[in-house]
Amino acid sequence: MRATIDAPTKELTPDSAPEPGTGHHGQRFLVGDTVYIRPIELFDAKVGASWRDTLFPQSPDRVETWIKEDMVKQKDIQHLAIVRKADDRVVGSASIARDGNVANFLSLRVDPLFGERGKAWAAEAVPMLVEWLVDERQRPMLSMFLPADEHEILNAALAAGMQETARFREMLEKDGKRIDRLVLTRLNPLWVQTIGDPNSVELERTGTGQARPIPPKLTIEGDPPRNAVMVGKRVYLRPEERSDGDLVADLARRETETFFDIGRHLVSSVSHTHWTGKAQKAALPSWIWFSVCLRENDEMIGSVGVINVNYQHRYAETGSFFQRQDYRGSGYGSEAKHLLLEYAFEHLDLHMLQSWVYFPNTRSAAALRKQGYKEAGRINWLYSHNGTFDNFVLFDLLREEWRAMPRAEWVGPTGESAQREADAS
Amino acid sequence: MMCDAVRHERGNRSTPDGGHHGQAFLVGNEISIHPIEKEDAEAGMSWCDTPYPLSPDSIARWISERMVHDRDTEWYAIVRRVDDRVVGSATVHLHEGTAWLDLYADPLYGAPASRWRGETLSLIVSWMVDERAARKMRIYLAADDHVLIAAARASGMRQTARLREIYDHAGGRVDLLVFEYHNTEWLGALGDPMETPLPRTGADQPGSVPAHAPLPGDPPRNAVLIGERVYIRPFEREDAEREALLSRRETEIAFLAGRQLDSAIEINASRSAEERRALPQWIPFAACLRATGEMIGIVDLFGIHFRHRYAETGSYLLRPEDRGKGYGSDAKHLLLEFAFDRLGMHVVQSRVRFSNTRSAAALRKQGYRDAGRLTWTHPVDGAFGNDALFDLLASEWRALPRRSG
Repeated sequence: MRATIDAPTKELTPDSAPEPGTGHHGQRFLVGDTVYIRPIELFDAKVGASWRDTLFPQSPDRVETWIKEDMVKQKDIQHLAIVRKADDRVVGSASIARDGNVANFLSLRVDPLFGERGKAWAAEAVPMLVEWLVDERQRPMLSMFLPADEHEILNAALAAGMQETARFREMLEKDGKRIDRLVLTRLNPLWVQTIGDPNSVELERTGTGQARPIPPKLTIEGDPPRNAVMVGKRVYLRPEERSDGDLVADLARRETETFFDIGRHLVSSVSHTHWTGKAQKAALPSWIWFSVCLRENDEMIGSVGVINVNYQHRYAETGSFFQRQDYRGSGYGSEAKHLLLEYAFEHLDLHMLQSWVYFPNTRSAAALRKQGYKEAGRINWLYSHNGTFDNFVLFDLLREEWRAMPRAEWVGPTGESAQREADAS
Repeated sequence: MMCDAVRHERGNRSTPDGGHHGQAFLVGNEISIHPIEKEDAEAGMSWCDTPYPLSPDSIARWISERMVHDRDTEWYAIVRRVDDRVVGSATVHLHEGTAWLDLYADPLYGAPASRWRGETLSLIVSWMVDERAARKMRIYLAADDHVLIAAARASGMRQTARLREIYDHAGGRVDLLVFEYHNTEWLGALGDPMETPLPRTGADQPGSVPAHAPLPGDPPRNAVLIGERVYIRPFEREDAEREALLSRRETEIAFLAGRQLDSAIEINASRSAEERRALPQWIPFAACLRATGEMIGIVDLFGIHFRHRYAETGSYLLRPEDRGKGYGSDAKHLLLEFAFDRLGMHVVQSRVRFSNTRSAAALRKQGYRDAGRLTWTHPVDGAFGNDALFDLLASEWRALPRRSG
């Protein structure tokens, strides 16, 4: 005989479910001692404040709209509720972002109003999620970013086989103090057997590793270049504009170096223009790029930017790319980068910047060290590449460190004649 | 000086024999490859792979509103070097380490169009796999496209499957061949997926098709097709809640490579979006028991292609205790009747993971035939696993013995 479903049908519509505490009945995985994990459903909108990871208050109607219109379209992010078994109260959420079929990122949010109890629930959820995603669903790796003071969750993560591979200094702000953020990863042991332990892959370093003096602030004689935001001796930064798209597309086709990223890309002008316009529309943009132009003739030679800007914790990630190959390796990049750092630290008031560099790109890593960045660790297995998964080296730079770096001096009465070659040796 | 050359070319893309100058990669003997730009809309009929006439305005709108949003797909123009004329397009879809390539060249060019596609194929294969680190590249080719098949072989691609009579070409049916190119270093790390044996269980013999069950009274509410024990009907909102709940009760891990958690709201969102389409590409049915009206599973057609009249089939029983009792096959034959007799499909295909021997055995029993494999489709046991492909022609299904009712 066919078995019948082992719970009353009315359980299927939680609005009419009268018996709190039965929500996990029948569930065969992701059920712990005090909490269980299930997908976010529309009715969870009513208690959004307990699980939505947002700084701002959102009404149930707004959360419902987010579920219906945004969440359901996020094919690469799964949102799950952490629910208390005793009474089916939603106490937090977990989301899993997939990046290709290698990297998976877990983020957890438990309602802070539950205090220490909430942290214990998060600590209970971590090993269940790690085991499900890595061992059962066979993802090669799962990573999580965790505030360094979350000891209970950290211990649970370490007990579940995660390893700390990086520490970003002072990335988060809590109760007026700066807190480090840890990168934790569990590698699938079967994949370690197949392709080896990535922690034994050594980072190749080139250059001296020493920071060099920063070009000093410049007082411009005469008018600034058109639309400039930051001006240096040889280059200036201005907003990206429509006509940059054609140049970027043309230069992408001329690229001969393949090691910056995983191979060369062909960029179209129409999509460059689209994404630039979109980023600039935001009231608080999280993606801020500048075109780097030569002062002598206003030609665009590269791009620098801050991405994933977090205005609450005041951190961001930096990026740069010099489309013009003939301007690489001659100090233009560092000059532009320091203009960007000045913008990020002094104009946006950011406290900390991070940067991620693909292991083979030793030149960019050496440039970051010269600019004052410090190594924060590594994150393994982000990309699939030629018979293995590739690793990234992580850097951070604090505003106070950048401010304390020695400034080079301009020689000459106008301040524009020549830079002392402090780095000539 | 390089910047002069750049200035010369900007806005001068139509200058004959200039467009590829300075391009450092993706330049062949006769053609070069450029990203699609808005001005290419003017000659859209030379590169848009559509059977319908589309004005330059429509194509320009598609470029600026749709193309730029799709971050998993890259569109390129195939450009003839002698005069910078756009003669075709290459579309690369990147998913889970696989690069899928689609090639189109304006058929009005005749034989040269095949040659240009072949040249494009060899340029893109080495770029995507050797430089941009896709683990493999895959292309679907018509079995009568000899020039492109030769180009694929010359580029190191290997045939992994043959799906019979997929394409309708000038009144005749033509097979579809799957070709794949594997990254050499991954082959070294994981071994050759073409040599992995396909595990088999079951008798491999097709069974019979359940007879039409005469109705003693009225059909079940909203039924579309009815068998002896099960019927299929359109999905309803409440079905998704049941599916979501039962996904949390799943006890079988191996055949899916891990259990999934589905939310009702996500299930309903994707189904209702599909139902709004005039010509759906995905048609899911709820499979229900006639005795109780209970929904026990899902059977669906997806990747539906109305012009060539083929589709892919899928089925899933929600509760472990309903599996292995023939309900799945009963529901599947109703789906096949819908596909072949109502929609007029000529052939259907199906794919299952190598490890899922039970579903493969069920397909063989339902009359499907082994058609080959798609390799390295999902991570499993510290490596990438393969999928087995199956096909079934309408004529074969119609010829299967019918059980008496």
